[in-house]
Amino acid sequence: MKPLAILSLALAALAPAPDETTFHVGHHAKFVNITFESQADIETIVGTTNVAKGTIKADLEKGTGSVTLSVPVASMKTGIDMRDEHLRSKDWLDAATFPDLTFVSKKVEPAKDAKNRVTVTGDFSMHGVTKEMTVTVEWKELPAEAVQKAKFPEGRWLKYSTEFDVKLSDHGVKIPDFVVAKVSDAWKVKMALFAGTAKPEPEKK
Amino acid sequence: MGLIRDRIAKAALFLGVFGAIVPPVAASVLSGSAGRTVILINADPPDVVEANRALWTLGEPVEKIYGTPLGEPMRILFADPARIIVPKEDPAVTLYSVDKTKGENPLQVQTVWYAVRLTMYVSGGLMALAFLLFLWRRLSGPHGAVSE
Repeated sequence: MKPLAILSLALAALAPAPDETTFHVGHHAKFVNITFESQADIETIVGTTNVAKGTIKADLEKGTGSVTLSVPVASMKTGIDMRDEHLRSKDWLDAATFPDLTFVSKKVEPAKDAKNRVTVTGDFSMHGVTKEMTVTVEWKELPAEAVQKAKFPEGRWLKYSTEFDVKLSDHGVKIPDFVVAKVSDAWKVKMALFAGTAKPEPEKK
Repeated sequence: MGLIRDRIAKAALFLGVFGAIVPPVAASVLSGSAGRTVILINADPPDVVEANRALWTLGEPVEKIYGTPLGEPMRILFADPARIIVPKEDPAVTLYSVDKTKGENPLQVQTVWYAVRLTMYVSGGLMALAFLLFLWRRLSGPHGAVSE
């Protein structure tokens, strides 16, 4: 009986709560738009990625739920191949050892000031170092006619937007002295994601 | 010795003054004539722009319709007209689409000014060198000037 009880508890934990809807991230690159920015003396480095995978379980009425999200380091582009290689290298994000940036929520609370805004606290992992992070996320549901007009796959679609700062030094990344004037320790990240109830098609191998 | 010293002093003074005046003036002229203040965006494809437009409400940043902004508004040089988006929702804003996956990096005025700053430092060094050499000539008197 005991193993059965544990199994059913585990399944209950994995399944969305009765009022939660599961939205998937990563159907197509066009549904993911993430930018990151470093402002330093010499230049502002800006980069993008259109790759992210994850699941958002949300009770839109209560403003609660959970999020898991991962972004491959290899997908991050700054516009200069050599700089991207540096970014992936051992001295920076070490993509070979830590291929993904991940976020796993621990707590989602509705914001007091707006119905379509939530405060999400969770563990953000980069370069093998995990730090707790709290971000404000805004969501909007795409009206059914707009889903059709934009030719999105069938189902409900939400757009999630958020902005937050990440400090490289918090995650064990030290900027080499000779590029201190070119790269900032603090990076501003902006995310816009469309998440849909339709399951993404499995990757073709 | 004195002749070489004088020639070096004159060259250093000329290059120092040239470097202190020409690059900042050129950068100002370039920024004014070929510069444009834009918000860089990672542009969304047309169907996603349609979806974004359906979600956008008055008062929100207009760039949200067209993609995700890359940083704050910045001044860039030699903007490609084909990449400029002037939103009909707010024509006062100029968006500039960049595709980082294709290695697109518009030249920032900020970068040009950093280069100007470096040339100013070098120019300052050259003018200081010229001053020291002229001082040396003055202190060594006519003997120094005719020692060759």
